[in-house]
Amino acid sequence: MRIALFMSCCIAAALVGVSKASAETAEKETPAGTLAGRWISSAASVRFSQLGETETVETNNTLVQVAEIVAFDLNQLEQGKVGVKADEEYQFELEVTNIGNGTECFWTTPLDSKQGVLDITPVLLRSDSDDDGSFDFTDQQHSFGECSVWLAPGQTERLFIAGRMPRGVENGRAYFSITVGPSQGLGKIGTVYEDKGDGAADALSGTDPQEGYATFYAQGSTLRVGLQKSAVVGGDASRSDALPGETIAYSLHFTGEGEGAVRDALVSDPLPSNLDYVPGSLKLDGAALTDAADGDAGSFDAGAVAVRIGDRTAPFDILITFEAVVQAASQS
Amino acid sequence: MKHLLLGLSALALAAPAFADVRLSSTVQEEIVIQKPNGGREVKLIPADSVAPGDTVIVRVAYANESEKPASDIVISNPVPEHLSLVDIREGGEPAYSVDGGETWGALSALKIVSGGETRAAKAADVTNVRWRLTQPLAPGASGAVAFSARLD
Repeated sequence: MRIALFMSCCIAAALVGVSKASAETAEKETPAGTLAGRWISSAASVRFSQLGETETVETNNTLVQVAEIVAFDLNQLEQGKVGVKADEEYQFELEVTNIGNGTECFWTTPLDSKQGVLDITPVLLRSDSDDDGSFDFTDQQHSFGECSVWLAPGQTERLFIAGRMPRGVENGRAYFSITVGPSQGLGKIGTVYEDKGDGAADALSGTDPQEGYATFYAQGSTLRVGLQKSAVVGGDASRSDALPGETIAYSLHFTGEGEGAVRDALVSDPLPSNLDYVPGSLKLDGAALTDAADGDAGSFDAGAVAVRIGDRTAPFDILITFEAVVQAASQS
Repeated sequence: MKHLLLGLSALALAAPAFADVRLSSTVQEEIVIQKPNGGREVKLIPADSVAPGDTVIVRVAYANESEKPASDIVISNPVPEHLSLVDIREGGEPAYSVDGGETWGALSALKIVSGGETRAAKAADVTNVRWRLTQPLAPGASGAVAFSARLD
């Protein structure tokens, strides 16, 4: 009988829009509240007098189970990437937080981005299982579309989705859409999943399905990188030759134009054998660097000047300068 | 199946047969129906399961099924764990306790001492409610007391 009553209630809800308080408050601001699956017990007692005798009577014990609010928050940590290259893989990051009152398993499924252009191909799904906040090949790998990440109420997990940039979108954008949802399903707010909550309690959808969608983009690279070297002999920019013992000031302009980024860039310049490097002359954008391979970006070793630039996003214009002396009995 | 078992359990635990004053406790959930014309209707449905934030009505019905009047009737109901009292729905103003039934009084007269500070008690602090019927309950007469509470 109670089953029939419950089902008729839910059908009525769908027809006329019953709004349970739990559904109304189950959006992002909802606290986890009482844990799902618990039983709430209620019993009263009455004491009375009858013909001089005092009696106490207990009521029946009513039991009500705490339903599970299935609610989550999806935090897209980046909107997209720029400067990507065709056929290369990139990681996109997002975080899922369980803001319901029960333990949930979440799945992630790629979708058609519906942007009318080539989509980025989903390749790999990993969770930040070592909790270091960054993608590692040791992070746990999961399958798309399957229950993969279990989250207790209030718990957050970072997900990394690797996608491959398609060919043919140079200078253009490709997109990548995913949906994240709980194992019960991604029904509209108020949808009841009977007996699907913790402790076989009823589960109640508390998050708008739209909250489970995310779209990333990747901008094809238009990056143009340049490296230009110039030399000034004895302080005279017009000279093109140098005599033994003269100092040559070298300048290296490392530039990036357009849209994109370089990663782990290293500029190195082997000196000709008839030049002696001037110790301590190496500078990066006017700031002196040491010659040793140590904590700063520069070094002089094995006859070559080297400066680690690292990651730079265009536009950039980096100036590296150093000096060298023409050896005796040679002419440059 | 879970709900059917629950119903049978409630029947088995009904008030003892020897009592002359019978009690029956029910818990119902209060829902608000949004009507197509924009109106709202509040309904009570059996509370098989409730979610945090839901409001339930805890109701205790009593009846004198003997042929003798009963007097000095006191009905006590602890506010169940994880529920916070909202208001009284039936039976008039009861006495309240915020310390598990050790002391009783009007809610406005009760205090909460926490962390060395004292403040006025709120409905959500109430741990027990108690109604004292001022009139004897005649044979065949019945009534009810009820309060609403919200699941934490």
